[in-house]
Amino acid sequence: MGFRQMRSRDLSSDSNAQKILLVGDVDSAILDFDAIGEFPFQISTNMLDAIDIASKNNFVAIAVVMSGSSSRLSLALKALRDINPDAKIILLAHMYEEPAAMKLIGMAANGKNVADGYLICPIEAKRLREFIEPADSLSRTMSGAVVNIDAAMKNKVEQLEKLATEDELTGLKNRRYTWEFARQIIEHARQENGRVTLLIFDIDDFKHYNDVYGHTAGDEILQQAAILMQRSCRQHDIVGRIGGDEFAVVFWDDPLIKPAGTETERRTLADHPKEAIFIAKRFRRELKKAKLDSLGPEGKGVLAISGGLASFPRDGSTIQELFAQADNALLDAKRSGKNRIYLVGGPKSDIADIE
Amino acid sequence: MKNSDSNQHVIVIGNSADRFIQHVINLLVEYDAKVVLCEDVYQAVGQWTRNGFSTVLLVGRLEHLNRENGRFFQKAKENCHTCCCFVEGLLARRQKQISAIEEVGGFIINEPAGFEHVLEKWLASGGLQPQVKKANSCSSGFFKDEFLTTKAELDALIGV
Repeated sequence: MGFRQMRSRDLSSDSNAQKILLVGDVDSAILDFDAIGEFPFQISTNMLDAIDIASKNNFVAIAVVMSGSSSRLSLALKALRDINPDAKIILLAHMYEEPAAMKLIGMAANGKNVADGYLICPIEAKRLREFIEPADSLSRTMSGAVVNIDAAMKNKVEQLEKLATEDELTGLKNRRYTWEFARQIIEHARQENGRVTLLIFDIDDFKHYNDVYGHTAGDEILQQAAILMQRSCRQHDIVGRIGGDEFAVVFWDDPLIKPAGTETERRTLADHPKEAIFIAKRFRRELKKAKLDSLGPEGKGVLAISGGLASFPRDGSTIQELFAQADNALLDAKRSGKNRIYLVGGPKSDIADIE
Repeated sequence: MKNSDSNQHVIVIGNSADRFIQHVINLLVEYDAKVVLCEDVYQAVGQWTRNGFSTVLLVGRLEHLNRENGRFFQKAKENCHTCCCFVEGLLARRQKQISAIEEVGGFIINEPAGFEHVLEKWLASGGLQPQVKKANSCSSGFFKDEFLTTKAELDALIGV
């Protein structure tokens, strides 16, 4: 059954069936509605209408798309929880909304959390369904005793998710995750008139260290760089290892974090790539102090990087354009003698010259 | 006029520590009205739907009622409920929101004391929306003379 047909499905004829209420811009959050299968569902694009509908029906689950939802989502979720206390409330969050989703899940209303979990979207409807109705959470042992496998299964899923999104050596996000995050946050910035800055950098003479000191030294360099960059960044910035010795950092403005100071000061802070430049400089200072045991007594302060910085919308309007621009700036930095970070725009844009 | 009809409920939206809300509640107690206090519009919609309230006066500060891009006012109208918004300060700055309330036939008051007048009118009308005199209908416009007076007062206040 196609999505368009299912959208108009009459709930009243399924009074005993398990129903799902989808709230918000579901077209952008759910990829394939066919997989919802036999579940009757109803869509409400507005939260107040959703509360109205939830008051008149019993839903097994209510899935709320966070993007474009009310700025007072916690209040709306509390109302939904009060009305349908037994319904599973699931947040459909984009990658950049993950911290907000986690925060909402931690909030309670009448002794119950306002939401039961979140899924990173866009998702396949199949995943939403699995979340609502986990496949056989009870299992029988050889002796026939029923054991709960929820915890074990949860652990396994967490491990798999980690493997799919993280770089094993450094613990940073992997290329796929970083790319997808950057793509989503650029889309979001386009709608919200926001800004995003991308830094791509690599380790100067990494091949030399690898060849002379061995792969253990190479691994230590990568791990050190990862630790120092994460330490230099703000918590919500995404740091990823996107190639052998190549890293990317996505700088964006988390709406949950309200910088202190006057309106003018806040605007200046959010000015891209100013904040990113400040962080990149801090990272380079940290690198200079780093001591690498595997390089022996001369291992202190030798590590250097070259990088390129590109900002949305100034330097590119798509993720492809932004990566290409930042990569070109990185190449310029290399050609100009390494150990520097260039802004898009040529050799004159060394961030060391920017106050 | 004291004592409200059994179907008439007043939903007060806001914080009980708010002086305007306290004034409204005290007055409603005096009038022996059926009152429900809700923290926000989401709770309010849940209350009137779940409890099947048919005739509701929704009272609160404009900033608390003007949620979801004005959808709350529209929902109130669809359900034949009446909104009463308290607007503090310069009305001219809120012209857009005030127009949204006017479109659904709601009341706007500029002082807490103005609520008693609205309550009297609402109770006397049986809670019908502006100019709704036909049964089972909720087109807007009740108290047209009253509404026009309010509009004139508003215009004077904002210097139109």
